[in-house]
Amino acid sequence: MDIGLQHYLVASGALFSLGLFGIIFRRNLIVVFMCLELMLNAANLTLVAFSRFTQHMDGQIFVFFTITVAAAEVAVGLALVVAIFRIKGNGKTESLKELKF
Amino acid sequence: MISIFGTPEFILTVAATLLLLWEAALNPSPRLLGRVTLAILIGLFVYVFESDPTANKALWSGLYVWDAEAKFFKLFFIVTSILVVWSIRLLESKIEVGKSEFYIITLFAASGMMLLSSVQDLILLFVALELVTVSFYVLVAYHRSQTASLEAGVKYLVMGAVSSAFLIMGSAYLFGACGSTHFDSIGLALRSLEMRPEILLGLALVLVGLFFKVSVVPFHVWAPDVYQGAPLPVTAFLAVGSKAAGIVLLLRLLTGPFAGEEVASYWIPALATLGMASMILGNFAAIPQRNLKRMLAYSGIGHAGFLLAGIVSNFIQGQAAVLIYLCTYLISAMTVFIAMSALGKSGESDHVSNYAGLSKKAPWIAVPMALGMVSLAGIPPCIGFMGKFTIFIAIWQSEHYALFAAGVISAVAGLYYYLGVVRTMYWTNPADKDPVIVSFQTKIVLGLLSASILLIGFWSKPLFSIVNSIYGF
Repeated sequence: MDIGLQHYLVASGALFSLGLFGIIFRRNLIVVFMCLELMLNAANLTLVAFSRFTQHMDGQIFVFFTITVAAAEVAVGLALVVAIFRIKGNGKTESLKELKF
Repeated sequence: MISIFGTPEFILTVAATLLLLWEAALNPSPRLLGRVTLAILIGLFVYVFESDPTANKALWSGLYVWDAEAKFFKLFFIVTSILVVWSIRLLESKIEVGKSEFYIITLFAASGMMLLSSVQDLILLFVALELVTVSFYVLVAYHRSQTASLEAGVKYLVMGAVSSAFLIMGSAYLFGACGSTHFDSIGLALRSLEMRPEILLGLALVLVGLFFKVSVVPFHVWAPDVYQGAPLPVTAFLAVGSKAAGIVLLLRLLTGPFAGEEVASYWIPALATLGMASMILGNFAAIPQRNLKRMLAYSGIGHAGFLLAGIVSNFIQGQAAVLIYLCTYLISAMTVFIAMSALGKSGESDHVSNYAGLSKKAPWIAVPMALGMVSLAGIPPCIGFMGKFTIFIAIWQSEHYALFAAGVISAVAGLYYYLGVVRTMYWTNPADKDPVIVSFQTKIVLGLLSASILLIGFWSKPLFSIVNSIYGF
């Protein structure tokens, strides 16, 4: 069987949805951040697949920027988790319920 | 404006980096650094104001465009940043650690917003948007010993990252369908191709990513929590700067590559529906709120609805109305936020009950704040009325009557809570008699803002002629 564009798109779509479900349903902040990375990498996979099959290089350049920015995002995110851990003693999403109506 | 080195974003980024080095090496006092920050922004305002947008239209091989619209938005973001820096100066004593860095990170966010007003390519769009968003993650969670601020930071980070993921996924599909990430090439490809599902999927995902930034229903859930938990200057920056940044991207995309009639027949009903929902939900959900920042978050969702309505009125008139509305929103909202910051210096400023009898304790804060609230509500002599009025005309001319009706209903609902704050300030008795001290400079800033609310409200011709000259009529 030949692996074509649509196989990559289905795989990346599945990863993207998996990440989204993880963000909605998981209760640990670190796991939530991992799911965010999963979503970003699913998008990267789509970009690379399109780049490969349409013979335009822009998509691969885009991926470099995405990876760099995602690293910056996670650096800030982990700093936040550390700050929360110092105050609350855990990294659970349930402990964040101060702000509500 | 001859090369990359002359662009205001480049100058601002270099200046912010130099400030960071200066801070690390010589450890100047935060007050001095704040003054230098203000001076840089004011200098940059003059520089951009004097520059000629027609001299060199495209830079960086077409990634970056320098046209009248970009110039307008750059000036808009510089003014917003100046007022935000002023608000930081007022509340500096409340920042526990890293007072100087607060100013510098604000500058980075401002340069990202200015870059956003010039983007012509999906890659640059993503990078500039993330420059703004990552700076905001840090700013929102700046009070790191307060759980509210940290909680707001985490919520903003998770929502912001999800919206970025949607944006990249959408960009990937647009790139796959059109073979390029450049706006012009995408527009060209859309005209020659028939409408394919991957183009619509890509556009929908990109729009979802941008709707998060503008806080449009149903992507608004983060806004109230984040606005409430963030430090007050950051709330102001989010409410005005971040929202305008999302709107400028929507304008660039929807009136640029996606302006074609066929593709517009897909996004116009979607935007109209979401705009209607945002107006109504934002204005009605704001009514029971007792925390002023949270109330302003819901009111901001309502204003986002009005802005979307302006974009939907797919005439040039609609775009002009969006620009005018943003200007009026900038002046009214920043008046309210600076008044809140001036009060916050001497106590808690969040809860509406803290404003009881403010007219007796601090008339210098109460009068501008009341004017700002009345203007946000859109009552005639004030500038906010001009904004709402131009949007309503644009909606009516484009024959979106349901949207018009929703706008009228939500504008009336808005009166209730905006004027509720005014009532608390003027017709209730204060809990204590301690007078609030307002510095002379802050009185001048508040006075200027109040004067512009009234003067531009009465005599709005200059504002209209500036906006009209952008679109050439």
